[in-house]
Amino acid sequence: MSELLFNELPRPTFRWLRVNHTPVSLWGESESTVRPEIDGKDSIITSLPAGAALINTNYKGANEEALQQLVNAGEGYRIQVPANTKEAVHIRIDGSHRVGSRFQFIVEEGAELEVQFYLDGTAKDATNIQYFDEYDVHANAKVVVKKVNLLGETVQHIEHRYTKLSDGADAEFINVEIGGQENLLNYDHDLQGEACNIVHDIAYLGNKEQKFDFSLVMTHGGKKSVSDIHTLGALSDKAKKSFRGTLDFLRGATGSEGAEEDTSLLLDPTVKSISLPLLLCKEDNVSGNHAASAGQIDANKLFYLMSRGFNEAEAKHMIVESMIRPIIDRIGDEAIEEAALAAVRNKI
Amino acid sequence: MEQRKKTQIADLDRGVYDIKNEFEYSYIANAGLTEDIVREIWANKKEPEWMLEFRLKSLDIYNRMGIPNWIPDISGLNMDNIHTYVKPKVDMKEDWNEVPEDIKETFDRLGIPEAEKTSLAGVGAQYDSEVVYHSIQEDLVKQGVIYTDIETALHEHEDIVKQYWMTLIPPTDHKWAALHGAVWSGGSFVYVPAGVHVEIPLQSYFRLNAPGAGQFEHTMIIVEEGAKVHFIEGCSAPKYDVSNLHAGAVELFVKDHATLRYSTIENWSKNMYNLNTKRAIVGKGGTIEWVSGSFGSRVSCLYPMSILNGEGAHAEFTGVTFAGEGQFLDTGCKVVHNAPYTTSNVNSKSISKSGGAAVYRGLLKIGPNAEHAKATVSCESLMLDDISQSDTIPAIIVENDNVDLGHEAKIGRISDEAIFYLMTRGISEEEARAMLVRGFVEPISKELPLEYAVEMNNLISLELEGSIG
Repeated sequence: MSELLFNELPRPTFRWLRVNHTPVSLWGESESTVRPEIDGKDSIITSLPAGAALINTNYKGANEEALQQLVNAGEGYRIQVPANTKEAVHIRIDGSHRVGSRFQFIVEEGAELEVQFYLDGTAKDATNIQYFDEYDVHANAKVVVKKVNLLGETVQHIEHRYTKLSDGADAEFINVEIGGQENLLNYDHDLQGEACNIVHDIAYLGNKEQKFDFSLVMTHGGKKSVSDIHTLGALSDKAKKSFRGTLDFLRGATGSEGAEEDTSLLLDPTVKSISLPLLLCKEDNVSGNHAASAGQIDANKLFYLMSRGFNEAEAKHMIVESMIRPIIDRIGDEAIEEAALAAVRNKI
Repeated sequence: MEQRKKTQIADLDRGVYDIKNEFEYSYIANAGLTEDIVREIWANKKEPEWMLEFRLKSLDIYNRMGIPNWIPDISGLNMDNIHTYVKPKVDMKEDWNEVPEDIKETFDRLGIPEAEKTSLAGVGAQYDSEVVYHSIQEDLVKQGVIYTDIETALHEHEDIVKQYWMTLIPPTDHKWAALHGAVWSGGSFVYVPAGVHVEIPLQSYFRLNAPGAGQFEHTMIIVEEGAKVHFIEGCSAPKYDVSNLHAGAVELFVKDHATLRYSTIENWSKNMYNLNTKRAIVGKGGTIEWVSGSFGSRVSCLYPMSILNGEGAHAEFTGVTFAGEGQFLDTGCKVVHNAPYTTSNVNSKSISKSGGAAVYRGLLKIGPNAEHAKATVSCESLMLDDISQSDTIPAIIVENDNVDLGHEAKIGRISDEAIFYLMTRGISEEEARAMLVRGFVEPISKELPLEYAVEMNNLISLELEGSIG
């Protein structure tokens, strides 16, 4: 496949900046795909056939062609949580082989679902991990998705995620993105219901020539809907991060509130950080805020730690780890948290 | 947030701006854009040969370039209907009494000669495609300051003009820069020699009277090392049923340790497509300050750009945009940090109402050499009803770790809590709301020259019946 344009900005800006999208060629396309492992109650997991309809047929994914190919070719899983029940699903994606899969989650009224994605492993040759997870969160239902990416350096990692929230629905998304060589993540969250609520926190840590390309869109259609995006991370060597975050308040989303914040800690002069925090608004009775900041480690913090006997490298380690750790601590699985922390320590 | 009654915000009483004079000219180019028209403009203005080559090269670029996909809808603009050159029936005068009566009255109504008498060091007035009046105080001339129309500068200071001509805004930059390069006419030239401080401002006023015409004035300001000047630009046009086009270019060269403040109020009528380009390059320790108000026009695309090329250079942008019914004002600013210890502050406010759309589009780029750069950006948008639109589209690119950067933006309506707080201090509800709206634009209005601040306050005249919602 030739170069495709990923993570297109919902409202393009100056062309010469070359930030309106990310051109990417897919890796390891000749390899056949392997199914991920899924662990959960048998009664809620069924097979999702190739070509099965999307929850929102208008969702274009990180790239429309790549998503369509994935939908047409890849079998997947359908996870349906009955009303007023509570379930958990664990998914492991092994990066030693090419993966292409789908996960469709239906969380019925009043139900609760916790999903854990754990991605690790590395292939001998360049390979592609690509999956599409969709969430249809019914009225007053709740979904929590915790993802830890510890993939190896030969992996191109692409995630397409779409979420539909009904009245009073609640979603909490946590990403810890540490691995993978080229990470292209597209999150489209549709706040259709009244008084629905979503939080999406992403921690990342990049070194060498790693790329993190995040696209998050919060579309507020429902009244009194609330969204919050928070990305924070650190870059060293020649790592690059692009953040495209959009809060889109549609006409009628009265009383809604949205916030987005992108914080980058820059550890070497050769890193590159791009931030595009968009606010689109067609409704006056809303509150939208965004903030972006980038810079080095706070000299006062560094001085304080060094005055307590730590050398500069140790002090930097502690500061970076303490920034990311609050998000890692929310994963809730001790073994995975330890693996993530070990990966953080190895990278700094 | 409960539903509230909406405030009726009065549209600007455009009064003096909308008074049309009889459409008279000594020469008018045919509508449309052809090589013959470009050659005619050049011949009419008796320009040097290199300028013809430049114009024709620009026309070629214009014809080959597409319209950017990110700008607002400009399908109502048809270049085949635009007269790119309208020469008024008068040559440039240096004595106000010699300017024809009807043109003089227009500028009198806009307060230009009065301002000259009281608070300006020099004045230029452009009517359609040509400058009709220019003056400068004698003592500044003695210090070597040049303030004249760009055509005169092209003849009398050709070397300087040629050296700098469209080097900051090359015709290849975008389609409207290419159009400007092909058909430019009129504009101001300012040269401030090293070390000279021009203590009171210079002002140029651009008035487009002709229906279906384009105005393509070129402003070039060169502030030599250690010099200082404040330049004020005002623009207006009466409203016609046909579309008008403004595609000016402003090139500002701020040398080492020099300071330039560039204040502008663009108050075009609502049939105007305002596709203007402004850019400044700043040397070591130099400062560029932009104060920018965008009010009129049907569509505006305007993003003044500061290129900080010298160590310790500084840029300051203070802007306000007010979009009413039928308007799409896509404005903002661009700052590029290319050198160490450069600093920039951007403070942008916008108000949208009655179906108008106000967009802040910005760029903050910190290049690999800009170590110790510091930059702050603050954007605030106020929506006064639920049929309008307000978007913020910033791009922040950082290519070096040793920076201190902060960006924040807010969107929404006036907060109930703020009104409540003021009311608990004994202020009436209506006055509290009025105070909050005035307070919203106050950081901008205090930076404007007095007469423009008054104009802006008139522009945002609020009817304080009901609530501001």
